[in-house]
Amino acid sequence: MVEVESDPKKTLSIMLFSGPYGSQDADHMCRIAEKAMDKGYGVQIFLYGDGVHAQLKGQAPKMFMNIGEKLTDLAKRGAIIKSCVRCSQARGYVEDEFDEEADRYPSSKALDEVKIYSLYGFINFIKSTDKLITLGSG
Amino acid sequence: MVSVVIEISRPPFGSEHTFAGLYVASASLSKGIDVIVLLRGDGVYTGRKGQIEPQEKIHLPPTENLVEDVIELSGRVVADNSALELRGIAAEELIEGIEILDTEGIHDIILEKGEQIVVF
Repeated sequence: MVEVESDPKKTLSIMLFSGPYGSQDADHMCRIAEKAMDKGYGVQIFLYGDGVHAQLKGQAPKMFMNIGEKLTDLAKRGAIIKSCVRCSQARGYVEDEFDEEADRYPSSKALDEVKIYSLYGFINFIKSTDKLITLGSG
Repeated sequence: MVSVVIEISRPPFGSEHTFAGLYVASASLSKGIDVIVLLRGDGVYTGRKGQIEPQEKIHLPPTENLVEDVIELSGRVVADNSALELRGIAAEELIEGIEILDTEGIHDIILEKGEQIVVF
C-alpha cells in the first residue's frame, strides 16, 4: 500500500446524515476521521438529519463500535464536532436558547464534546475545508 | 470564491434529504459561497412548479419556495434533461429560473465547478 505523506495544513470535513447504528456510515466516518488525524489532518464533523443521534450520551451498543465514545475520543484529539440545531431540536436534544458563553445550544442529552449549532457551522466547514465527504445522504 | 455543488437525487417529499440539501444551498449563498444545485434522478420532481402546500397533507416542509429562494439568492439550479424526459416532465412545468442541461453538461459541472460536492 502506498502511504501518503501527511500535510498538517490540510483539513477534512465530514457531514453525517444517517444515525449511528442503522448503517455503517458512522463507523466509516469515525475510522476515516481517525486515520486523517493520524496523517496530520485537522478534522471537522457536522451531524445533520438523523446523524445528530450520534451525539446522544450513554450509547451502549453490544455489537457495534460505540460511536459516542469514538466521537469523544476524536474531540479530545482536536476534532471539531458540531450538530444541526434544527435537526437536534426536532429530535428532542435542545433544551434552551443559544448559550453565547458556551457557544452552543444547551443539551443535557448530547455529548459535551458536540456543539449543537446553526447550519452555518456546516457552511463555515465548507468554506474552510480542503476535502469534504458526505455520508448517509446520497 | 468558494464554490459548492449540491446534488439532489431524491423526490421532494419522501424523505428529509431534499429540503436538508436546499437549506444548505440557501445558507451557503447567504455566506458568499457560489452554489449550483443539481437536480438529477427523482430529484427533478423537486423542480416542478405548482406543488401544493405539503404541510396540509403530510406534515413535511415545502420545497418549491426553497428552490425559488436559491434562485433569488443568485444560485444556479440545474435539472438533468434526461431525467426530465424519462419522467415526462416538460421544461414549462419547471420553476422559473431552473436551467436544463444534458448529461454531459451535468458531468462538466460536477468535474469543473464545485470545489466541494454535497450529496443529498
